[in-house]
Amino acid sequence: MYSDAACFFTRIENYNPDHVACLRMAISENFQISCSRLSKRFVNRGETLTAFEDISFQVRSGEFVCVLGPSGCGKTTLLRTIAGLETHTDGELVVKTSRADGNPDIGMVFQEQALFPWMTVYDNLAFVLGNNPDFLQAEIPSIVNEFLVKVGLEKFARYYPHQLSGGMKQRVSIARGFATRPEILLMDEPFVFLDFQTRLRLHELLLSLWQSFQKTVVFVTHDIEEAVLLAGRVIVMTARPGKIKKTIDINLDRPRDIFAIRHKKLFLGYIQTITELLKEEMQSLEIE
Amino acid sequence: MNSVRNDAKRLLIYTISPAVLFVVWEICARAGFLDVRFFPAPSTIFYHLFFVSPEEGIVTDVIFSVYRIFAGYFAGCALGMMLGIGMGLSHLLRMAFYPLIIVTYPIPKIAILPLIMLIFGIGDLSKIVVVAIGSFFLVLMNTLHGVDSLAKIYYDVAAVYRISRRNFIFRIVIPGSLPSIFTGLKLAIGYSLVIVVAAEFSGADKGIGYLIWQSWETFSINSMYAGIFVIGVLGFIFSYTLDLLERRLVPWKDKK
Ligand SMILES: Nc1ncnc2c1ncn2[C@@H]1O[C@H](COP(=O)(O)OP(=O)(O)OP(=O)(O)O)[C@@H](O)[C@H]1O
Ligand SMILES: [Mg+2]
Repeated sequence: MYSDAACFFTRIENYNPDHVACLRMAISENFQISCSRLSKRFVNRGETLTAFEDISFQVRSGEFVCVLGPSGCGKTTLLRTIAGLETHTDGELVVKTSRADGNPDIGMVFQEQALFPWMTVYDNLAFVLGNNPDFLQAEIPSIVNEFLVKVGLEKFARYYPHQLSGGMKQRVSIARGFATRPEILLMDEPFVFLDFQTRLRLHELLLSLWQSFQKTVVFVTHDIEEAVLLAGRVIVMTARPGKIKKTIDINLDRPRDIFAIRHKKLFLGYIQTITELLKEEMQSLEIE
Repeated sequence: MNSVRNDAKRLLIYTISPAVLFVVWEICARAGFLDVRFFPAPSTIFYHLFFVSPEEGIVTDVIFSVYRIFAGYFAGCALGMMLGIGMGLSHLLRMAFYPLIIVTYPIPKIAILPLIMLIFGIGDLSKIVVVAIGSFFLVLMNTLHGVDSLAKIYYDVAAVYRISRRNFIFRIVIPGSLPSIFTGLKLAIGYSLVIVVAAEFSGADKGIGYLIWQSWETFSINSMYAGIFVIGVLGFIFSYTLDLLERRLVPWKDKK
């Protein structure tokens, strides 16, 4: 499912020249993730449903990219494909890794509740660390504690997820995402069910964690403000079948002050631009 | 500390409704509303149970029944759990065993007792085997249900973090199915009591079932009630122990 640079050239023969060009670039330019004309179709009882098609984009190492699009346009499916949980139907996907075994290190924060309810907060983190051969058993307690402190939950280490609030659970999920120090962090609308204030706090937390660890982040959302606030680049998708409508670079300084930034002309400009794009999308749907 | 006090409190509360029942029964028996030939007063039964039955060997009967239940129950539950998890995780195992199981599951276990006695003789082993078979099916079905209803997201988390097979089974699948497994364990312990008593009715010379049957033949109503009462107490102890164990092992489920 994954291919690193070495085995990639042996596989490429079967693909069309477009892909080859795109992927050659991926190798030379140090892209962590590159998709070339990626498509995913589901077959349900003989009916074909295209989740997304013709998706081409690259993500540099350390970049923060948001994927924005209306509900059902295939954002979750795209993220799952990058994570290797779903196989794509067409096109080529390269996820580069510096690991010897060729398996990229990925952390994922899911849209649904994905903590293990039978493990305490501590164990939820310790479990994924303990399973990873890169970590010594002896260093796990201090790593878990370090990340729980970062998300402000060190006092809740012995709690079970059902004893926490929604925002606290999501903070644990974020801590788990960062704890294994993955090369890539995939986040699927992690804040969608939270109230506005909690979201603000978590945006701040996420940005500061990203700032200090410089992970490659692909963050899926359907909230325009959230996308502009967090990302260095926003990929706007069309309604299903999802294609890339436009990619917008967000040239706002970092580190960002999530309160002050809201009053900046540039910030509001981006929001307006993207709103227009989505409006077009809605109108084109009505014509259909 | 706190949980110990809660357990004691719960135990106390659990004794309220049986106590009320006994008091009402006692009053009715003494007032002559009940025919004491068939419904002797609880005080008479308790007197018999504590002062007469021991002479008649009730302790041996209880020990034999409990031994048969435990041996059969543990064997049946262990096998049921293992096969349930195996079938839940392996398509091959499921395809191989599922047809056999849905055919044999509804057969009343008492119906095969004569067959079991032919094969395993009329001693302890045949009773143990039939208890084991009964427990096995209940635990198997509930374990399988537990594994099947484990949320798909946990498989995804396991895949993303490359959780090893061993960790996947012991830290995700088994704990995740535990609530359902416990449902099976609780059903099975009650069922084991039913089966062991029925099995002891015929072809046994010790056991609570034997005691009750013997009392019927000699029209010894008080001994019969003593046997029934002991079964009730055993059922209570077993269920209570399992409840306690469940609260300890599944602390992440909110319990009533
Ligand atoms: N396993 C599956 N089998 C069949 N169809 C699927 C499957 N997973 C997703 N789909 C379909 O693919 C389409 C895209 O789904 P997806 O979950 O990726 O959307 P999304 O953009 O994440 O939406 P939302 O913003 O609501 O989360 C949907 O129409 C959905 O019905
Ligand atoms: Mg989604």
